[in-house]
Amino acid sequence: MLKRYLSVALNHLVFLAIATYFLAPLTWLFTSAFRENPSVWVEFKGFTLENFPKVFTGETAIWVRNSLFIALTTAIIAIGCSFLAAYPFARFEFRGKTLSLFLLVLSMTIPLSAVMLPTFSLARFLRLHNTLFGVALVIAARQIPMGIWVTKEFITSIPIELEEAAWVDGASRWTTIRRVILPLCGPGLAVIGLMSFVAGWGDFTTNLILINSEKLYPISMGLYRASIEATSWGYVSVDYGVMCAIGLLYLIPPMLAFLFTHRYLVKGMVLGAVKQ
Amino acid sequence: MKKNLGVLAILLVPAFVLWSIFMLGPAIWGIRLTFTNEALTGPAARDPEFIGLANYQRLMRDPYFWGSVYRSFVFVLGSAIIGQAGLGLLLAMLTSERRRVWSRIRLTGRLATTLCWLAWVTPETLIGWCWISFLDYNGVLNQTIKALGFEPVYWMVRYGMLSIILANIWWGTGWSMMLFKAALESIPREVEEAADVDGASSWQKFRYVILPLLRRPIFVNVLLITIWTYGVFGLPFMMTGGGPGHRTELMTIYAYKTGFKYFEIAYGTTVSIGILFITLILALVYHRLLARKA
Repeated sequence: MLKRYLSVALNHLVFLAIATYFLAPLTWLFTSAFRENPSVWVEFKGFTLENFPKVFTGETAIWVRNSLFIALTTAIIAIGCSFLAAYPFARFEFRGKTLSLFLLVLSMTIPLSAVMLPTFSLARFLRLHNTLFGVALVIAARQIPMGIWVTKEFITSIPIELEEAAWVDGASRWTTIRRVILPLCGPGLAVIGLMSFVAGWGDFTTNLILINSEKLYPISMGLYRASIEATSWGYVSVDYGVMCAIGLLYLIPPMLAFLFTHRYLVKGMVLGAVKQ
Repeated sequence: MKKNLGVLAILLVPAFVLWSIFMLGPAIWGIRLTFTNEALTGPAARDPEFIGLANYQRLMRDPYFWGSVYRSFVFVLGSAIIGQAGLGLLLAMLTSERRRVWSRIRLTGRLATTLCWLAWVTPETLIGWCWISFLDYNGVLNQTIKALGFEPVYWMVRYGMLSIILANIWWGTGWSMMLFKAALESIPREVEEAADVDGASSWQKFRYVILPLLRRPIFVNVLLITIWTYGVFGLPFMMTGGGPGHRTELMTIYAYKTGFKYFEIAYGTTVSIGILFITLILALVYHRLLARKA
């Protein structure tokens, strides 16, 4: 009996230690967002909600707008391209299909940081550097392999008889793609959309290499610049309160997106890596 | 089945164009760049020339490059292989709902896994922002240390590598935890029950029953997070910028600095070819593994 109590207590201790490790770096963010002119200390005084409306004025409002633009554009491009390209991979046999699927999967593993200089060089060549659309294109391109893969699985699971019945009635392939396949792929496309949105929303590296005009800064670049200003020269020109408020708001979209896609993600893991 | 090559082409074109320009393109363009002396400033900016293997010869003799290779290895070993996989496996095992004590430790267990998950979904620069403040000389960590009666430390200056490793473990553990939890759940209950009948202790059950069944998921996951961690750039770059000196300069950071701070695009690309090389080899191993299963 004593042994049982000890084991329970030990488990609680380990969990609390791990929870502390994950919570401690966030304490300052959560407290400062609700304080007037907070310092780098954690203190519980001067409670205010003023920081949140301030996020939507001035420079930070531009960051939010730019982040939203990048995230939405990324999601739309990724959904469109993945859906269209997934159909032939699921329904046609064509030369080079196996090779292209192999290259798609392989390219998924190339980190952006390994190709950031040629990406910059290429984007400059195409006059896409220092544009938000260019940033979205680069991020969306990186979502395409996963997008095609997921949608392909969805389309393959739709019985071909559904389409054939419509073709017999005189429908064209375009019609069945639009009327039969698209609605049934809804959940898959939603997952791709959410993942791409999050990728665009949280991206830092693409913006760092492509954007140099401050008017085009998304939230990630704003936080990066603020961190440099806060740690250099010893004086502080950054309003920590507003920065932490925007940080908290910055966290909400990926949290919601992953709550919705969690089940698909785990299912994908089981299929991909886990299954014996 | 209707055959229609026109449809096929139209459907494939948008994805193919985007993918070849921004995924295949940079890799090929990058390899071409390494044989030139392209730069952002100076005469080479206007008129880059082909200089053969000169960049690679310089790379072989560059102590900062080999230093960054070593530091990237330490970073991957510490933060991915030991940190994320280790802590992720521990959390997944401890919060398994099949444990007999689970009903009594559920509350703190769920708290730990939820926070671990929350860290994983946090955007990179927000993690940097939080960790910089956390490790600041006046930050929460030193505040706690002072309250306990110890001397505060300049964490990112004194223990730069440890700082970025701890931050990266914090960021990535959620993924490994979720993957291992999924793997554990796919182990049939009968296997464990059989071990219980034989009177195995929980350690024996873990060591001789569960762990062998988890070998494949663990291996695949370690491979995956190794590939990803070699490519990690934003978080350590934001936290230390490679400093102090070169002490946290990973391969990705060295490549970035060479290209955008010293404006040597071609040589910087040559540095990042090293990362490409490592990740591609690991990716091929990964692909072979998955293909063998299918």
